[in-house]
Amino acid sequence: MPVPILKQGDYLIGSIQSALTDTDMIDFRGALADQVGKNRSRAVIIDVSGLDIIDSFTARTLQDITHTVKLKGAAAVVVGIQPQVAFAMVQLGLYLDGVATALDLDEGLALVGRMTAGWRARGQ
Amino acid sequence: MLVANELHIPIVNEVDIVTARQRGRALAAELGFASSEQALIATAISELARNILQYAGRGQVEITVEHKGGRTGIGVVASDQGPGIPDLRRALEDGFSTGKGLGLGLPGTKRIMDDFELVSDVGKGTRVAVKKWVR
Amino acid sequence: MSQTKQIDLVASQLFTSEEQEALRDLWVVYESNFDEIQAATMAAAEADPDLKKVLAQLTPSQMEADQLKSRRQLQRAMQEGDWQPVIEDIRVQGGHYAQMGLPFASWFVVVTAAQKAILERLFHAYRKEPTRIQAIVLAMNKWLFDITLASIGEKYMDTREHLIKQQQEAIKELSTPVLPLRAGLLLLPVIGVIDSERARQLTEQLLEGIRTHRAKAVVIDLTGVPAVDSAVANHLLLTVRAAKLLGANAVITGISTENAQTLTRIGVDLSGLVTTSDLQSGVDEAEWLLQVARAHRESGADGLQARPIVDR
Repeated sequence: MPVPILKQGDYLIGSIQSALTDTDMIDFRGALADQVGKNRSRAVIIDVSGLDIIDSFTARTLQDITHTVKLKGAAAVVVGIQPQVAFAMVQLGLYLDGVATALDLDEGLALVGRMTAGWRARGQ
Repeated sequence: MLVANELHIPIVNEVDIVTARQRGRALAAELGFASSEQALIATAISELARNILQYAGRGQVEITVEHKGGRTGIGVVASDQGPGIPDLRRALEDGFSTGKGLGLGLPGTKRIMDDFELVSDVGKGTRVAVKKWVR
Repeated sequence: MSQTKQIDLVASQLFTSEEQEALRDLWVVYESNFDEIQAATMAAAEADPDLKKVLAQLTPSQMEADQLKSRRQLQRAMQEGDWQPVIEDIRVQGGHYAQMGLPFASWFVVVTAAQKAILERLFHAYRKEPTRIQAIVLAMNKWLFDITLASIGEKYMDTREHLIKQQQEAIKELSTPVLPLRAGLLLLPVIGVIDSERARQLTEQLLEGIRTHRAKAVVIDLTGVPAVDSAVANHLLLTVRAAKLLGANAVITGISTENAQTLTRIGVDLSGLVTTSDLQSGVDEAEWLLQVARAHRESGADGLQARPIVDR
């Protein structure tokens, strides 16, 4: 079941609705990278509010996505981690180092605005 | 009421990982685990089931209701007949932030469960048994 | 402190000399029928669900030892007028069982069962001397009700007051809420001794608070925590990391110099944390973090040269 990716101006938004298999996650990663390239997006926002757990594979994939789209010139923010999921993650040792996070879509949009503002100022 | 005292889930493809953790979570809920602990248990099951698939290709997860000294708990045994883990010490090393370790999620799983037992023989297979008790 | 009256321990004022004489007679009956009286009392106790539960927690050898001690003490009291040990013992037991949650009413069950068993044998032993029976019964009732039950009751009052106070403290601690100081800024004052269960609760409350109040900065104040050991410190680190996953940055305040030194000595790495010594500067720091964020948001569209905040 592919993850729907929406375009909103310069940004792409991917909403993960429910439990994904590993293959779905990998497909999502590829599709996102593709779309960033095609649309020359400045940022991607990954909404994981539909996930009731985030395990090491999911965490690694989110880190991979951040890395991949950065290589393509886009920022990435993960939003919507549920409080209990966050607590379980840190107890398991999954900190999502290197991944920008925000509470929800609104905060995520505000954050990417800040992140890309500096880049715009530098003429990127 | 509980439907079964024991769940047996063959792990053959990645959909089974999701099945295992969802059924495990449901049992944990029935046993009275707090919601945050259900998340921990489901995550542990996910990690263990994925290891089976990734390193052995196939195996099984058994989820049981445990009793000890008046307490109730959940038990999870993830076993396979795969290649086994050659370096157990490294497998139990924390590796996420440093890049070391085998990325098996075992150290984390050991941290969040109350009881943890790992048996692995090269060429024979691996068995991880964990338990968590209701507070 | 307790407002209840202290039972006077001076034997001479507890019982008149006639009463003391009657008690000596009572002891004769009690002693010679001890086993049966004991059995009857125990049977009544077993029939009461609250008592049964409590008795189940005692080992047979423990019960035997208790009974032996009580018997000796009672002998000294009734025969020699030394009531102090008995009353002290009753007080201790009363307090103990009150703490265990045994209802005071259960004591009535025990005392009235004992009374009945004693009376039966008393009437039989002194059936030819009714005036003596009357004197003994009066003295016995004084022993059972005025002294025994009253002492226990006193303990229940004390214990109840103590428990109420404890509960109030617990409620105060539990309802130490996550406080929204202003938009986007939360304060979590942590007070008292933190065990792993409480730490877990606090973290869950904080994370829920971050979500509810959409906080981007939280100040965790440890001024009220007497001992910050490695377990607390590690839990703190987890909490800060979890908050980050929800988009909130944490400032830790109130780690005393002593606690900081202890943590350094045991090798806890706090370098990833933003800490200040006192609450006010912690709040200021958090406010600054928020303002910086807001300024960037507002100036973002103009492309003003702001400090680029990338991939925290």
